[in-house]
Amino acid sequence: MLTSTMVKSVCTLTGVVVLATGCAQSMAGQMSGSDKSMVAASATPAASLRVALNSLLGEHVILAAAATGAALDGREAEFKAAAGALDANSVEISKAIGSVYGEGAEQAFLPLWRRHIGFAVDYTVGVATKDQAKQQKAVNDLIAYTQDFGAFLASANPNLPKSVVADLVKHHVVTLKEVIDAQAAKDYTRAYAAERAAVAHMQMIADPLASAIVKQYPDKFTGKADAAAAGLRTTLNLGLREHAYLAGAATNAALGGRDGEFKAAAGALDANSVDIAKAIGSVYGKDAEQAFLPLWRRHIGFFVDYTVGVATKDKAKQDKAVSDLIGYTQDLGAFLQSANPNLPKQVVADLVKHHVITLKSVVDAQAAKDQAGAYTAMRAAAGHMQMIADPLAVAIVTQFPDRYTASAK
Amino acid sequence: MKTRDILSGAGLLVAILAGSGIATATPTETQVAVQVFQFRPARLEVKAGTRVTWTNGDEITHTVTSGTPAERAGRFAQRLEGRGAAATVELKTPGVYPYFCERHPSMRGEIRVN
Repeated sequence: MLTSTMVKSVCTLTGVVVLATGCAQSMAGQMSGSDKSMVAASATPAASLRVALNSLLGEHVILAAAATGAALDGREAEFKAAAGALDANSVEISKAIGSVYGEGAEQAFLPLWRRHIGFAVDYTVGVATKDQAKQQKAVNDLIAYTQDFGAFLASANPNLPKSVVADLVKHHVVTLKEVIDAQAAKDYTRAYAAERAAVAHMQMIADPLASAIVKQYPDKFTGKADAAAAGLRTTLNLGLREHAYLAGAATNAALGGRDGEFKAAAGALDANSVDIAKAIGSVYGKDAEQAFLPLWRRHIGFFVDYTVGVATKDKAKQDKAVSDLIGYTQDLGAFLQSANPNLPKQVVADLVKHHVITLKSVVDAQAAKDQAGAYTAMRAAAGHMQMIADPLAVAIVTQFPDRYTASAK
Repeated sequence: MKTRDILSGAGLLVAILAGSGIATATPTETQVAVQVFQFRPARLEVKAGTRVTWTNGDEITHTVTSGTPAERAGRFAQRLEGRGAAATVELKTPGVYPYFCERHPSMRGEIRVN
């Protein structure tokens, strides 16, 4: 049985492999006896590596799409803020590489990684200016870059064939190009659908990368990156992180008066809600899935209320929305405790309350047109979701040990 | 140092003292590995007349080009066409020789010839 102390032992999002590994080890370290082996299934260093790489690479796509969307729409201040956040993500990806392969590799990786972002910027400028030659050159540069990237990883890790990596990165280029093309056409429904697909594709890079590193350094990254428990933890983290980012995108569009984009972002956010409910359903059954979805959607509705209150400077509406959100945290806490006795209601409620606070910071910064602050807050809000996803994964693995521990070691 | 000084072929690996980040090689031949998009060691100190051999460990073409991306020195420029490719330069004249990879300009190295 998990204790509330264990659940409280959630770790801040590191975004850095070495720290994520420490986080998982800290969680596992607070368990004892048979519980410890169950926690280890989802909190092994191998699982933490997989979560960290997936989180960082998924965030890369989300921030890239935010930057290109702002650029194509002529929102210069937001473009700069998104580009800054994207570069901060690049630095963290490089640190993750460095935590495995050393400082030299970190320093070699960062400029290499930044190059493909530069080519994507070139492509976006080409699209914005309707310069076909510039677009074609950027695409050619990006395709050529996939060979460099493949060579880098193949050189660092013999378990990663250059051509396989290059093909996967090529698909990343293609999926991101679809996002940019849809944004340029102002087809926001297509743009958000393409963005979700592009984010999902990154798992096809992150998962093999994590497995290859674990294979290369089994003593450092104990456990299995492809264990079912690691998969559960990854799914929960990615789903909840995407929730935070799509919510931020929706409120950003709403506060910016971009109605078409708001509707598309809200639609994508709801599709994410359906996916999260399905993840719950995959563990607790269809009935639980159907009960969870409307409950989850409620807090999004309250956030819409808060955003409208901010946009209209209606303090009473804002206060009511915050009150509703705080009350909601008790509902979600009760739901999860009922489904899983390893998740104390108040602990869950407190964690969800923190989610409310972090997302409120995003909305407030967006309303104040503090774009840099908004993107910093968005990254923090997405990062906080690991504090919910990780304990949830641990609790589920503890509840269903036969399902999740068989292939953990 | 002119391009005529460039010799091809593999050299003999010598002892490298890399504790300070600067490798010091006393014999007349030394090697630099090109691995994971890095020159290893990135900084090298040798005696005049030393033959330095770069061997590519990456599955991609790199170059060993004297100078910097902003200011090429024109002393040597060798292509290392994929994994296993090697190039040797004999450094006869004392001085400091920065170099880089033309395809990946962030890859930098430096050789100090005494």
